[in-house]
This record gives sequence, C-alpha cells and structure tokens, in this order.
Amino acid sequence: MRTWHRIRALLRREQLDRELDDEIRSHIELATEDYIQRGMPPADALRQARLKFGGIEALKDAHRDSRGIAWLDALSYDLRFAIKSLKHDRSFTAAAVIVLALAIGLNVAVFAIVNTMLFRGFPLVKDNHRLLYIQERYTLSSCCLLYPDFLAWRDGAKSFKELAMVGGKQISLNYGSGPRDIGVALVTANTFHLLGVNPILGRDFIASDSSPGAPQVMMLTYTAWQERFAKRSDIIGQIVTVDKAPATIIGVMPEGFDFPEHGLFWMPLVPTPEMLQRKPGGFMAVGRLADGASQTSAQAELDAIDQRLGAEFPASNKGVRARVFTYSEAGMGPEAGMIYGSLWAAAVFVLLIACGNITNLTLARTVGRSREFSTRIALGAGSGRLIRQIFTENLLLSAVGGVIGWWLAQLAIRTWITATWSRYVVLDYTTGFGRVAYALAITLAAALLFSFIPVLRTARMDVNTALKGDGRGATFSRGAKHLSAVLVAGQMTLAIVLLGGAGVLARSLWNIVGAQLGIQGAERILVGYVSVPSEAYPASGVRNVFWDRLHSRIMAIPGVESESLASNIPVSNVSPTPFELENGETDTTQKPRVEVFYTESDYFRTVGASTMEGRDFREEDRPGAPLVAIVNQSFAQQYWPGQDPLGKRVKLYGRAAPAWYTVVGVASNIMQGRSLRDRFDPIVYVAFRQNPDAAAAVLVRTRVPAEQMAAAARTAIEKAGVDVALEEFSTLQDTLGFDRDRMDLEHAELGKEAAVAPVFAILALILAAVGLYAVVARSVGQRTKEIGIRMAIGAAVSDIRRMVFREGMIPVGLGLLLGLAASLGVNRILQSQLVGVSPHDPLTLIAAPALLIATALIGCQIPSRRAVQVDPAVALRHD
Amino acid sequence: MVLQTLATMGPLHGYGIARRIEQLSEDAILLNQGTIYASLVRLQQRGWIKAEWGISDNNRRAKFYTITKSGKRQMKEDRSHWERLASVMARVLAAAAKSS
Repeated sequence: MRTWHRIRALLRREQLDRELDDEIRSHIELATEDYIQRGMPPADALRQARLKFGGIEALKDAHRDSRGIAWLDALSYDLRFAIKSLKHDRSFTAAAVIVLALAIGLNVAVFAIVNTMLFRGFPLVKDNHRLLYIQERYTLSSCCLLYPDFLAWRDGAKSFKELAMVGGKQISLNYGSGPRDIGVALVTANTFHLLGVNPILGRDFIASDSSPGAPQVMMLTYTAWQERFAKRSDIIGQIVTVDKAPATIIGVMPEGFDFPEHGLFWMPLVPTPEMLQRKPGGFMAVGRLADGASQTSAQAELDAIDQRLGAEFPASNKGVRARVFTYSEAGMGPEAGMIYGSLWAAAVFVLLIACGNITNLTLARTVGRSREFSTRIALGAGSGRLIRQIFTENLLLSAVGGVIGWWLAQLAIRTWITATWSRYVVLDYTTGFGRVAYALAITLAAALLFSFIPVLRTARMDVNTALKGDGRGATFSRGAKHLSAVLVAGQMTLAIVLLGGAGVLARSLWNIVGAQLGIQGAERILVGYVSVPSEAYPASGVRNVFWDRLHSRIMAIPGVESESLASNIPVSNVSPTPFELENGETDTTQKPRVEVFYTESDYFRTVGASTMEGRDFREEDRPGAPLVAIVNQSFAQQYWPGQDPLGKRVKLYGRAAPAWYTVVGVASNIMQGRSLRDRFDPIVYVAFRQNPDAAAAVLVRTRVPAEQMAAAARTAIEKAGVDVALEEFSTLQDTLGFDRDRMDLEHAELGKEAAVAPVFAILALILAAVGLYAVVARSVGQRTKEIGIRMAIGAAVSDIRRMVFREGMIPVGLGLLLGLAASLGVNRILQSQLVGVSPHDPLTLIAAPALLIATALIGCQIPSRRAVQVDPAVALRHD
Repeated sequence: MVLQTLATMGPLHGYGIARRIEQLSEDAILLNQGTIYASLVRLQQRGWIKAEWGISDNNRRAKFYTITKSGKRQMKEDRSHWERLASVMARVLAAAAKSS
C-alpha cells in the first residue's frame, strides 16, 4: 500500500509539488487572517505567519522525503554521475563494453543452443520433458520397430500414459501438377493428441483413419499448406492422389510444428499384413510418461516385455531390446549432454575471463580515482554511497554490454541455425522466456562479479593516506598488485583449458575431413540425386530408356569427360545386405552382411578410382544378361585371401530376389559408409542397369572446374524428361566436408562442436591478452617515476624491458602450468568425441601454450615500449 | 496527536490542525507550523487520514483532512500503548520518589 503510494507519488511528482505549494499558500493566508483578527497590523501578521511556518524549502524537502523519492532521487543522481564519469573515461568504457558484449553475447547464444538441444524438444509440444522416444535395435533413422512390439508395450507398460508410433514411406503424390515421389511421415492416429498439438484447420486423425481399408486421409504442415497450396482457405476436403488412389486433406497443423522430421505431409500409420507378421514397420515410438513414472521405470518395463516377446517369437525378437531415449539422446546422440554441457562450461569460462578482465580494468581505474573517492569520503559521503556509485557505474556498463550482447547473440543464433540445419532433426529455436531471463541474470551477475573486488577495496580505503599528497603512492599497494597477478593467472588458466579442448576437437575433425577416401579430383565432379516418378516409369525397360537419354544429353555438353549413375555418392552410407559365398565359405544360417553399391560403366573412372583386376561394367550388362559384380580390394582380401576372385560367385539377398552374381573385376578401395572414415569396408558393386531404379545419384566428371559446368549440367538433367526431380546438386568436393546427416549419431555433433570450440578459445585468448595488457600498462604508468629514477642512475633499456616483461610473464607462466594440469583432466571428458587423436595429444599440448605465450608477449610488448621511452627528466618532474 | 485532533474536531485544514496542537500543548510542541505537512503526508500514505480540497469558514480554498476508519483503529492502539507506558512511567517515578 505504502509502496504503491510512493510510486504513484513519484509519477505525479510535479502535481504533488504544485498541490503542496497551494496548500502552503492557503496556510499562510489563513494564518495571516488569524493574526489580523487577533489585532495585528496586516504587514506584521504576514511576517509572523511566515515566521511561524518555518523554512519553506526545508519543508518541501521533508515532504518529498516522506513521499519516498529519496532513494530514487539518489539513483537518478548516481546514474547521471555514472554516465558523466564513464563518458570521461572513454577508452575504459569502450573496452569494458566490448568485452562484456562479447562475453554476454556468447553466453546467451550458447544458452539458447544448449537449451534447444537438450531441453526444449519439439516445437509447440506440451510438456516436452515428459516425452520419451523408443527405438529397437538401432538408433534413430535406422529401421526398425515391430508393430506388434509397439502394441505389446502400449498395452503392457504402465509407465506410459500414452504411446504412439511413427514411421515413414515413399508415396507417389499428385495434387494437380503430375505425380511426384515424396516421403511422408506415418503416425498412429493418437500422435498429435499425445503431443498436445491441435490442427489450426480441419480435424486431427481419428482411430478409424488407421484401420486397414479406410479411405486415405492426409494432414499438412503449415509449410506445405503455404508453399504447395498457397494457403487456400478451402483446403480441407480437397482430394489429392496418393499411389493412384484418392486421399482427402483433413487438417493443417500450426506454423512451426514439425514431427518427427522436417517434412510436408502426415498420413495415418495403417498396419500392413507384413507389419502384423512381425516385419519391421516404423522407426520410432513416442510415449508420454504417466505421473510418477521415470525413464528408468519405463526402460525396466519394456525390458520385461521384450524378454517375454523374445521367448515367444524367437524368429523375430530373439535378443531384441528396446531402448528408451530422451529427446536429446534420440535426436543428438547419447553424448549430447556431455557435448553441450562442455560447450556451456566453455562459455561460462569466457564470461569469467571477461569479468576478471574488467575487474583489472576497473582496479586500474579506481587507482586513478582514489583521490576523487577519498575527497568525497572526507567531505562526508558514506562509504555505502560510494559503493552504490561503483555498483551503478558497473551495472550501467553491464547493461549496455548486455544489450549489445543480446543483439550479437541473436545474430549468432541465426548463423548457427543456417549452418547446422538438418532435415532429420526438428529443433525449437524461438526466443523464449528462458533466454531473456538468462540474459538478464548473467548481465546482473557479471556486474556483481566485477564489482566485488573494487567494492571491497573502497570499503577498506584509508582516507588519510589517500588524501596525503601523492594519491598514486597510497593505492599502489602490494595487495593490489598481487590481486591483479592472481586475476591474470586465473584468466590464463581458463584460456589454456579452452585452447587445449578446442585443439583436440579440431584435430579429430581434421582426421575425419582429411582422411584418404580413394577418390581423386572431387572438385571436378558434379553430383546430384535424380529421380523420375516410379509410377510413370514402372519397368526396367522404360527406366533404362530414360537413363540413356540423360546420359547422352550430359555427354553432349562440351567439357564433360565422363558420366555415371550410382545408387549413392562416395563416402555416403550404404545399407548392408545379407550375402552368401559358394562352397560354404560363409555361414549360410547366420548370413554376414556386406555393403552393396549399384553402379554402371565408367563409375570408377568418374570418381578417380580404378579396376585393379578384371573388367569394368559394360554397356552389355543389361536386364537378361548374366548377373555380374565387382568387389573392392577389402572384400577380396577379407573373403578370398591369396585367391583369384575373378569368376567366383556371390549370392545377394538385396532389394531384388536373391540371386548369384559372378565377380568380373576387383576395384580399388573407395570410402563408403564409414562415418568416421577410419577404414575401408568390404563392398560388392552390382550393375545398376541390370535392375535399374527410378532414382539414382548422377556423377559427372568435367575437364574444367565443376562450378563452371553446373548450370549446363543442371539444364541437361532437367530437360531429360518432363517429370525429372533433381536434388542436392553440387560438386562432390562440397559434400565431402563434415556433414552431420552422414555421421553416426555418436559423432553427429562433433563438427559443430569442433567448429565452435576454436571461436571460444580465440575469444578467451584475446580477452586474456587484453587483461594482461591492462595490468602491465597500469603498472608501467604508475611506475613512471621509478623507471625514470632507474634510468637516471644508469639502468639500460634492456633492464627496464626485462623488468616489465618479468612482471607480466610471471602470472602468465603460473596460469599456464595450472591450465595445462587442468587441461589434462578436462580433455579426458571429451574422449568419446575424439577420432584418431589422444585427449593428451602432444601437438595440442605444445601448440596451445606456445600460442598463449606469444599472445601474452604481444600484451606485454606495448607497455614495455612505452616504459623504455620514458624520459628520465620528465619522469622525475612528474607529480 | 494529529489523529486525536482530527477525531475530536472533525475535518480540519493544515493550519487548523497546527493551531489546535499549539493550543493543546500551550505552544510546547509545534515549533514550525510547516512541519505538520510532512507528518500529514506520512499519515495519508499509511491510509489513516484522507484529504480533500474544500472551502474554509472564511471562504478560502484549503485542503481538509479527515480521519479514516483504520486511522481511528490506529489511534486506539496508540492510545492504549501510551496509557500503558504512562502508567508504567508513573509507577516507576512513584517508586523512585518513595525510595529517595
């Protein structure tokens, strides 16, 4: 009540002042009349009334104080004073604001990213933290889940309030512009209800939509509605064609909602006869935990159910175990917590370094201001008031830094999103309450942190010594110097830890990116994924006609050296297929798996590999001709060591009916399917044209740099048929960089981390160098007189320089030793992410300190130059 | 004391309150009449009195203060507190007088 009055009073300050004036006037008039009535002459009466009333200004002050403006008045005074004082000291202000903006910006950006990756889950979904994701056998995006298993969990697991299953399939979709092959997500009818998201138009799926034989229905993402249907308001009830049968559009989901991948359409998951016969059908189940249940209890229940299923259906379920994941484990891999946790820790390190830095800058400044402060204390300012002054100034600095930092963070987050976007992971980066609160909290925390030491020193300040003549001598205490040195050492420690971590991460990324791939001249190879609707090209004959037309059109472009089709491009993943060798060379009951890759003639020449023995595929390897295969060196060495592979036969259980293939050649090793690129797996190459697909990767080798040919090649491909789709068209070189979509889940985030960590380390290094510079420069500035005397009595320039460097580098050396020790421990945490490099990689452990020392020397160099330029005559006269 | 005055005299303007207090205390308390306004503002903020502009007996515009219900309650509390204090003081003083 009172506070409310006071705030209102503040807002109506002028009006209240005016009212008080009126009241005083009326009081004096009343009093004067009173005196006149009592018989006083009017002039005396007025005088007496005024006398009796007392000091009007003093009353006004008292009145305002009672109204409660005092502290706010003082605050606005402090603020004005802070602005004036910060304006006065421009270089300090600029340095502090830049350092703060960088540190706060980095922290807010990292918070947003970590929050998104680990905690936020799918956009718009209710109570994300109660959702769990279930996969069988394999991690996300690999098949598969057995539908009957899902039913068993749904009916048996009490830990889940509700369970839904998600899958996907390729359909041929036609909404008026010809058929297109496109992927759709399949969801059980309860999925959106479980997630707590409702359609903005139309209705949700209902149970009857997913019964076998029900009329086909489809729901749209907002993006599909917007881009494919121009946001038509009459979209609900529209009929499209799915696999030659009509399907009704029944609903549109809200903007920003995507599940479980970035896609366009959802259809209900209708159990097929194969699925019911325990054939794999979907890739994930999602469950909402019941009250009181946890991930552990859910896992335990599923384990029990799976054990029972394993005994009951040994053919399909023996040894099959479901695993329960949180959102971040399912989407970002089991190490996500460690990766993003260490990223966060690194950001906090940078913030601490920044605070240490500003503390040093502020200390340097308070030394200069000690006279101002002691004068003010002597004049009666309470030390409380001075402390408030320091807080106000620092809070102001922090606030300005925070605002700029927020802007930097938004910029960084946008860049991050563009750089890391993946079709397979749906993330929610919208600005939330958490991000704003975090930004405010660290801004305030930073201000408190770097105010702490200056405040402590002000509170202990000795007025007498400070006032006595040489203000410089008074505060130039040993304590202050030690404190600065400790701060520098601390900053250096943190910087070394960051450098060490960033170093090993960058090295392991380099091991992946720089690995031997078995291909040559990737910058002169164009790649793209070409497809035609399988519905329009149903058989091998017409498909081969199309691929022939495509081939001749591309070969007609001047500058094209060769062209070839393949089931995928080099390095990408290839799904393993069961196989068998003749004469019992392999176990026929437990068939081993091998990567099967479909190519045609000229593939090896196009990618810069070769056939070492035998022959390449030929034009004649077409449907009807004997089935032929080429194996790579690894396969030959592993399965036929010391034998001639030519003429041997392999039986493949792939997408076509199982058949025997005769080996006609051995190819040099090409990297395929090893996300870490650490070795060459055995591969069997099969002739693409003997059983052609309606989709393939096209590889074109050019005589000139591939970019120059890109436009012509694209036109040739797209003109090869009216219904050709071309995706991901680029040079092979561009696809070879680190690509999280091609990584295994454990290492998918490595690229991001390895790319971001050096940014942190460099930032830390720069901040630490600035901090060191501030300390050394201050010390030199304060010791001008001492240096002058030393030089006057014969110290050489090199002596002075040595003195300055020694003072600067001792804390650096100390920090370095501590940092190296800490780094050894910290890097071990990163071990699971490291590829082909030890956490105690000697190169990194040498390079990081060297880099730090070099930077520190630069930090010392500038002040030392200033020191040796001191003119003894001037310095001695210096006050 | 302001509350007491307002309770017995009804609505009064600042000068009236000041005069009344002077009269009651025989000029012992209020040195400067102006100081009354700081107390009036505090009492207003606590919600014990309320103010309204009005016309005085001799046709002048003045702000009139009235005691509120919670002001009356507060006054009772204050009064019992003071009475208790006074009785204690009286006893202490009487005891002191006896023993000397």
